[in-house]
Amino acid sequence: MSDNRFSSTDPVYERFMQRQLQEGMELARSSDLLRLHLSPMTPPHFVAEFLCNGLIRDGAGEINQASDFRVGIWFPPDYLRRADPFEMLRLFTPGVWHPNVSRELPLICIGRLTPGTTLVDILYQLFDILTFQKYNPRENDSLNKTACAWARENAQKFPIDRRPLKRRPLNLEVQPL
Amino acid sequence: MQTERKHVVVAGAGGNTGSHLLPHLARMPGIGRLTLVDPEFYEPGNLAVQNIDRVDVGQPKVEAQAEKLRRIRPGLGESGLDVVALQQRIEDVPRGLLKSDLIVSCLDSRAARQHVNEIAWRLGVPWADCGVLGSQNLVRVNAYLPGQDAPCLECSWGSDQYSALEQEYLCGAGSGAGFPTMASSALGGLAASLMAIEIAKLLHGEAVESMAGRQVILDAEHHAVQVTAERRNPWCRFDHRTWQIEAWACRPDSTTVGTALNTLGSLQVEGHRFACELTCPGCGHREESLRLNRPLVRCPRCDRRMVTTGFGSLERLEPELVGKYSHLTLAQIGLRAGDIVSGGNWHHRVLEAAA
Repeated sequence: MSDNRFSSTDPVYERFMQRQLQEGMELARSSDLLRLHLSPMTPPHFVAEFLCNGLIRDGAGEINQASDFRVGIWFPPDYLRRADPFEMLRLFTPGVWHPNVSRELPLICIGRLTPGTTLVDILYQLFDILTFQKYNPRENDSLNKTACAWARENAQKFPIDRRPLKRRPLNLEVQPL
Repeated sequence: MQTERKHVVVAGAGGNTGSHLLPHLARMPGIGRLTLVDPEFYEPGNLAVQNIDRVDVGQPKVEAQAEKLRRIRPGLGESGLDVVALQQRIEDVPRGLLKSDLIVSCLDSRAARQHVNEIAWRLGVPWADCGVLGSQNLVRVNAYLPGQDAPCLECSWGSDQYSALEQEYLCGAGSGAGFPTMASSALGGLAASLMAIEIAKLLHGEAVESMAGRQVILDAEHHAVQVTAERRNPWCRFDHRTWQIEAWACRPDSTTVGTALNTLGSLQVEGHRFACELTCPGCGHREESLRLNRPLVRCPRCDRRMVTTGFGSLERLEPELVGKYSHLTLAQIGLRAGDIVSGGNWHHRVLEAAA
């Protein structure tokens, strides 16, 4: 699969992007919890839709389980050489309740990001965060300090979703009698 | 015969190596102009390892050093030394101001050195880099001569080096600063001397071929010298392009974005993006704008670094994306004389301050 929207004057970047598209789509095909598509908007970015269980805080302040989270992922042209995780990710779903997610801003923090980290790695990191397999336990540098304190009290409920992102083969072989 | 008087740019001019290097450069008759770049101020702790006096504490590093250089060799006359002090990060200096005969890096940040490498290649200017490792008494000097097939700084980088780039991030103790090299004043002086000798060779021209693409490591602990010839890495993540850059007599304070886009088709400043919306991750303060994100903007309320949230920035300005901002002048969106702007078809122009 190739997409000419990644055509660039830089062949190294172009090859990288084609590979991300291919690997990302492959992961989405073998997952029940992930849909992935390329957005038609500028700049060209991926939209990942996670169907896993996570938490949303509604207008009344109640924390509820939800299972549809959308994140935009953009790879700038110099992504292989320097990366700014602020710029690259945008959480489209409002109200997500998590220590690594801002309450007002569309920010989700996956921590340090090495330039050239693959799309699949980023998708796994986002999945781990949304399902509370990972979160920042330190209140002082958390994006949502209240959620951070809350997470400490409720750690026994985590992860919210134990299903693996990638479907496991069932291996149902019928043994001959 | 009057020899050509060279222009040398020193990035990280006030530091452990830079402060020892500058007096050597001032005493080289072939150098007629020095541009010093360093954003920092001298602190009391610098007295122990940097070539400064007590009176310099509290001063901007570039100003204190420029003062010393003028005492060594005043600026007037044919043999004078012209010193330009730029108190900013090397990443933020308009790249046209760095067009010179040699760029010297005495920086402790890997990310800043990566920028210098890029700048040197774009401008087609040779550059020399040095580093010190205090715990092992090591001194390193590298020289690079831009070319499509010449090795660059990033040619030897793998993902370990890329992941060691300084990065600020939202949660966890992110840091934009380099780690301390713990180098003594003597080691900085040693690096400076070795560097100064290489600089003389590079400026002389004849030695360029032999020096370029080499790394010299001086191990003062075990009295050993290691010389490595580097190779162009065909998988290098940097494109190794050198640009043809034209002068563009355009006043940033009177040319509007709309006019500029009419001329250029599109507008981009490599190394920076245009922020359309800046937000503070600390207090949520938000500013709508169109401005080159340089220098990094701090929140007016809580002083945290403001960020462009996902997709809140533009790599390149295009007529249909600019909309209501097209009447702003280039200066109002953060461009300065000396900036190199790239238009459609990768046509590069340097903004000249019109007289």
